[in-house]
Amino acid sequence: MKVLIEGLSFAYGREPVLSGVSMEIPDGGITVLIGPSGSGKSTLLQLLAGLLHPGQGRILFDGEDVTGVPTERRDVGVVFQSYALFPHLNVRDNIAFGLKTGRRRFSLRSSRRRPSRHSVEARVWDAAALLGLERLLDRRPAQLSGGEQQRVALARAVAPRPGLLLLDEPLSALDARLRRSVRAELASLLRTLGTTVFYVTHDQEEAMLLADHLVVLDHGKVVQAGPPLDLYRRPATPFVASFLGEASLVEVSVEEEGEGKPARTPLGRLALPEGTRRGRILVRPEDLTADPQGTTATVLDARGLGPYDRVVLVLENGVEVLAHFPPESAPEPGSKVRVGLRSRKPHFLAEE
Amino acid sequence: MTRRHPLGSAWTGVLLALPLLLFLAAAVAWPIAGLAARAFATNRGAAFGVVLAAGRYRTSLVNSLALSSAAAVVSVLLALWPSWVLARERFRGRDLLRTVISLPLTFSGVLVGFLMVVLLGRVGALPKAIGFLTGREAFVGAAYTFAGLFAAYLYFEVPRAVVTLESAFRRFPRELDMAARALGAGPLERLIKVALPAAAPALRSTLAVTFSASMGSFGVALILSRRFTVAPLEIYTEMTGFLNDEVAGALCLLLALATLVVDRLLSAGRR
Amino acid sequence: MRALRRWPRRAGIAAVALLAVALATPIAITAAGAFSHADWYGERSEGAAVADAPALFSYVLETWGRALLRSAAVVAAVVPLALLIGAPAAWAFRRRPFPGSRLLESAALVPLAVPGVALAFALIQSAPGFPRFWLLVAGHLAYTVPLVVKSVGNAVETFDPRLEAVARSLGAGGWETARRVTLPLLLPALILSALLVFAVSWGEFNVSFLLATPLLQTFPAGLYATYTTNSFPVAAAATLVFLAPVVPALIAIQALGGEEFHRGLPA
Repeated sequence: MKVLIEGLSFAYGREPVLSGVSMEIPDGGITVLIGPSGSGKSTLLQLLAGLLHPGQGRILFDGEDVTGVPTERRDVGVVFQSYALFPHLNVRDNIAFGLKTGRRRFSLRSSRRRPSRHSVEARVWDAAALLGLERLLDRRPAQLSGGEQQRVALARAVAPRPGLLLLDEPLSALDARLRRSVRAELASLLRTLGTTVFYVTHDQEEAMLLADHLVVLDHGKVVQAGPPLDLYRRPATPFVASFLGEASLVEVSVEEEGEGKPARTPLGRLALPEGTRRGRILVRPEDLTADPQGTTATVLDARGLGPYDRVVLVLENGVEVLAHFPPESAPEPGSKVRVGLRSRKPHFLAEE
Repeated sequence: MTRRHPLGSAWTGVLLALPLLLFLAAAVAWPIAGLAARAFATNRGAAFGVVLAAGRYRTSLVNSLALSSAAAVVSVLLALWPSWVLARERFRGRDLLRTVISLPLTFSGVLVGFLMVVLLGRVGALPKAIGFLTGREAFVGAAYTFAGLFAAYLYFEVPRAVVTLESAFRRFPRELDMAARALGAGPLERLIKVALPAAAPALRSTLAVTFSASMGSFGVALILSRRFTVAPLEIYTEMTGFLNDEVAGALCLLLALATLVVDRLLSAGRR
Repeated sequence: MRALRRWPRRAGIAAVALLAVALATPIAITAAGAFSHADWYGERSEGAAVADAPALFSYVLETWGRALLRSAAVVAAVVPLALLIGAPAAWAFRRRPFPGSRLLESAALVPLAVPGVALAFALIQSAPGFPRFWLLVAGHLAYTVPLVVKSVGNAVETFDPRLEAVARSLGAGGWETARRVTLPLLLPALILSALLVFAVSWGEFNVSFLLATPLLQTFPAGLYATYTTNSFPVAAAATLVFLAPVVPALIAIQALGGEEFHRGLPA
């Protein structure tokens, strides 16, 4: 299902939560919405689900305006942060719930009509098998672990084969270690399903791993959208740059009128966009490397983190940058090193 | 399940709970036990025979049971919708309405009886209003009928049910309702398949509470029942009028027993 | 869009309002009866031959003043006793459980299921010489202690047990922790319970009526007397006098969130 959001605004009382949000959720892919707490991510998800009504704007599912359609008639499946499993039903009945309800509009396109009892059982079994729940079908939610509950919530949401699957920070209730392993499983599962997925999170690693299409939300506005690596390498604003990973932003100002000539910067001669005067270049820790011909920098702090050494360097003009050195190779604090950028054409952020 | 608490021993607990234990034993268990003993001992429990044989006493017990059960069920049914709305919706005047609805909880039974007379007695407001508007006589003296007594029971039971159910519905996690909606369930379906089952323990405890209160209801009966009787009333007349202690005692025990049994049955399975 | 959800919601609010009106109507009529000239109430306006409000109220206070004082005395005894008996036990059940504490906790709720008449009778029979005042207090306690246990118990469940551990780690002994940490945290629940006990005890009739003697009457018994005379205005005035302390208490209970009130007064 292709989803279009046009000019969506939502206010809680008098406080605006979302302002003029527009985006496209491509069919069949995983779109991840990322942003800090309070940016309005969950609100947007609830609007897509129909649990909230926008003040302004439209939502289109495959070209059809569903803005006024209540949740029970929308072709969506939702996985909540708290899972919200029905405590009085066992796993089997939880999964089957959506297959037995009355209000769902079954569109002809997906050839879905109210399933017969036999096929309800078959579908429940399929969903359970997909998530490895076959042995837990007769248990009650209270008897399941956090990870198991999450899988049941997922099975329940996908059993009716919705056109759009909405996941609201589904992994944040799990502890860090579990989160890593579940994350990978979840990614492959969602890809296998092939349903259009809209996934909300604040975790950057999760976003990078899962997203086909990434949208960054801040204070209720879309800041940037596109393929995740695009956003990582070419962030549009400092906010996106630092939200998606470690970033140092080095100020540069161009004195000479360089027509295509490499400009002088604290990090050596680099190619900057034509006609630029002032701005900042993006320096990711992995971009810096030891360079005998590079600029001199002093080591301020060096800490071995295991997989790499985290080194804070000070450039000659006093600007601090972060670098990742190979493990156990970091020089002592106070010593001088020569560093340079791997690419002669770093990403440039114009002065705001 | 008792573990040795890291900060203090269970003995502290015993000490703190001791007054409660002593109170229950001395003021409740002992007197009731004495009542039971006397009733069984005198004439080898002949009083029970008198009570259980057909007649005024048995009728009063049956009336009490019937009225209380009916009042419990009906009041819970009537309270379902208002308590759901009070718990889930926000609107202006909600707190005021809730306060008004819970007012009758503080009313003494006599007061409720009086209010029923005000409303439905021989010169009650309702008959007067109907007479004024339509010129016909209706509901005159309705307060003193079985229906009137039932209405009085409802008057103090519905608020009780509303308050209990509202707190149960309030604790009902919002996300369960949202999940049900996302799975395609309409409002009625959600009430029946999700809300009610989740609230089942609260429903049972509400039934237990309303039933117990109705069984013990004395003040209301004192004012309203002219043509028939309920058990507490009979106990009173035996006690003070005929000084028939054994019968009164037997009645007391049977009444208490019936109430306790139903109460425990309904509360079974909860903590 | 929004319209789809509007009508069930509006109907619901209307239902709630209807219920409130139905419950409030007899009270409103009664209040009107005390303040209006009694003629409109037909044959019930004879009796005390008093027709204006101040005279009505002073008549009520004169005739049943002693009963009022008696009620006040009982309540004054019941409230602190109920708190002393119920609150420590409620805390102990949660924080210092012992074998049988679960059972005792359930047992604490049992008196609510015993009809007041039966309990009153049992009390008289088992302690005939005992001062009636204290039997009365005991009867009231039977119906109020469970409320305290439940209310305080719920409050204890909601606050973090580690707070007490922290106090201990900072050097506070058992009693000091109770005084400086536990009690302040439980204060809202204790106040709520006190209000509940007050409301229940003030209106208690079943036990009080049966344990009454001509000298020892509580105000609800006086209320009953006014209901059986033929004077509606007097009855109405007495009712208002009865409600006067209770209504503010009830409002305060609502404000503090009195969820345990469902186990309120048996009637």
